[in-house]
Amino acid sequence: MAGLKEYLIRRLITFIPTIIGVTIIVFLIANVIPADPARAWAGGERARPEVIERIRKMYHLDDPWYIQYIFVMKGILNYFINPNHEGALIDPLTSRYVFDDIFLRFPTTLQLAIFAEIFILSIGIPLGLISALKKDTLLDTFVRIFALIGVSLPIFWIGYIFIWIFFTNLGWTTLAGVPVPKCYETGTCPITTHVPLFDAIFAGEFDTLMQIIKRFWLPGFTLGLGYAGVLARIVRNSFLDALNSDFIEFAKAKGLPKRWIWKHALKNAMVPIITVIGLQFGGLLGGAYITETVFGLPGVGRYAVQAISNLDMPAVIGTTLLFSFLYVTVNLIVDITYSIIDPRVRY
Amino acid sequence: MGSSIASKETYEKKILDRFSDKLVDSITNLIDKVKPGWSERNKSKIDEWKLMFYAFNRSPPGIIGAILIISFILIGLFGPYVAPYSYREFLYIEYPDTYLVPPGSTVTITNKRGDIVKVFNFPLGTDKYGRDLLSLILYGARVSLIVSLIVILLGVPVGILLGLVAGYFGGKVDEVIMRITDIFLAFPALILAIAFASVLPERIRPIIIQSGILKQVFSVFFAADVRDAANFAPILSVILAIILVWWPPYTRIIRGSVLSAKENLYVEAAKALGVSTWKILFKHILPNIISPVLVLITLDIGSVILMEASLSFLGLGAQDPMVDWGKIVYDGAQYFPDRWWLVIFPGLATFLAVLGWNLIGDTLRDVLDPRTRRSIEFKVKRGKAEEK
Repeated sequence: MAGLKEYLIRRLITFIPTIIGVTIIVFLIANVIPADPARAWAGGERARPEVIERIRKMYHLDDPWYIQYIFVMKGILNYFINPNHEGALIDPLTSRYVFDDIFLRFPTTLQLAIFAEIFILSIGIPLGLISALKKDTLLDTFVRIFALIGVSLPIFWIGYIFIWIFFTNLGWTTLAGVPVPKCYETGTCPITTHVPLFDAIFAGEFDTLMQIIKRFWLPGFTLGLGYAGVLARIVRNSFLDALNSDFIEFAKAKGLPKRWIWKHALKNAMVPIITVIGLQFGGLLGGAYITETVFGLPGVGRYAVQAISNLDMPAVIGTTLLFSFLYVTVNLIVDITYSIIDPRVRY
Repeated sequence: MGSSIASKETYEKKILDRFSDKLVDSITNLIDKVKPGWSERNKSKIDEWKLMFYAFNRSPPGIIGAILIISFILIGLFGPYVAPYSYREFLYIEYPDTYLVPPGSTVTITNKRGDIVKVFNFPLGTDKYGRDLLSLILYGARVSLIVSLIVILLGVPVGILLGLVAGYFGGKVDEVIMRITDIFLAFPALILAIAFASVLPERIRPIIIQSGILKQVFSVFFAADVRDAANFAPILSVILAIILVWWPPYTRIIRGSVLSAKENLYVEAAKALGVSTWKILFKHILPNIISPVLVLITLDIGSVILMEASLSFLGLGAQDPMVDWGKIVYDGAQYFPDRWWLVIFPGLATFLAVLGWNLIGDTLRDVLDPRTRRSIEFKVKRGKAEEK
């Protein structure tokens, strides 16, 4: 597997300049604002000048942009390098470490992404396979229309309609708070991942698990609907492509049983399907701003939107960096996965 | 496999086909007036166009999509002029009776003596200022239309140009362009757009306010009052933000196609004949690789409308008193579900507009595929043969 190792090294080398480029762009965006952020952070028009002056010094706001850039990057690195976060970037509005604020909210975003992914896979893959098998029938057309409607639905519309149906009328879901397992208070969790969903499962608290499901299934479904349609189309097309390829003709000519032909076709259809699933998951982690806003989930996406409207630039830089880091990492994992499935892509 | 050709199915031209024939003929006549003899030289191309229309006319989703987007464009163009009330009409008049009334209401305003002063009809209800929702949606359509048009007209050519340059010249140019593209592709598109859209208004506002011409131009574009010129800035920032996140995929796709297209013999031949590089790029390579991009563009117009509405829903696009669809939902969401019309109607408008573009794009994908077209051609030819 020498080829795989070389490929991985090559891929990792292109990863680093991309992330550095991302940080520079984020930083430049944050510095486009002509408004005085120090005044806003100190509390607006009536802020005392010495406080503003102190903030300005603290965040190097009077220095040239590259010194500010180095200061911010140092602050971000310090959070992850120093065990007690010494010298890490501090949010001027909450006076807490920026990444503490972000990681406090990340589990909510992750749980939303997981629930959405469950719906995407359990709707998208079966629908795609069925429409490939029943190609050019009414069922196939139905799946096609479903996919088109799915990507066209504005979440801020269908979300409210679902809330009206499932919350106001049926009461199948809750809209307030985020349930956490009881073992957080008592400190008896066997494994602490800080993700309530996993911790509840590990601690065997099924009532908490049910509460989490009740809170998250509807936002997950709303978010996943569009993605599921896209996935169904991709599954259909790549499965059909695989079924029409030469090696399947050959397998048929050889007289292989249908089950085996299917297996060969599925395996070859996997590469584009895995790519799309990976990219979709990266997109889900990259913030579901609208879904979080509609369903009142305190996730990172909502935090980012609030930070932007508060001119809270350290928080904006932190969240944007986190999102693009996750996105790029998921892409990298997808690339690696299919370089393992399909050795041809390594070269 | 080839069953469509072998089957006995014959084919007659329907009304829509005759109509599309006439459309193509009138367009070719128009071109003939500018360039005499054009239709003679491009006969095969014109036939191909007619076939594309035949294929399109056979697809019910495509026709529904066409109806939806033609209504979207017409409403976007003329909506603000046929709207029963202006979007500013009720802002400064105090009629508490008109606040948040449900669809289909008629509000009668009487003075102290009990005389009827005014009668208002609100077919879709009103918002918190008592403005007619139907009018607001008509005005919102204009903003959606303009935003998606500008993004596609400015963003896509930039992406295509960069892709052509990167793919054709290769080497250092390619390396630089593609690294920058990769960096932009590393962001989830919406967060980057949110970030740009939130920082840009402060920069754009002074430019708009100081320039009389820009004020006039954009007040015509958005069908808005010149007094709201300061509020054009957030919408323009949204446009700029979407453009900034929109070009990278096009660059990547075009670059890939150019890489394979430039190895073709016709490019070699053009080079040998001494055709200039730009002419090779735009006249020889681009027409050969553009059709997948056309499909992408139609699908993308829908996504632009959706993204613009989403940014507005987050409070970034139109600001009071201006409206677009996302903004109406953003304002109305706090009254949901009691005052459902403020969410349902503008959301439905957004959905139908986006769906229309997606239906068209999906159908175009079939229509631009030479294989689908070929099977229809056979049918038409046999139909003609039987006529004789």
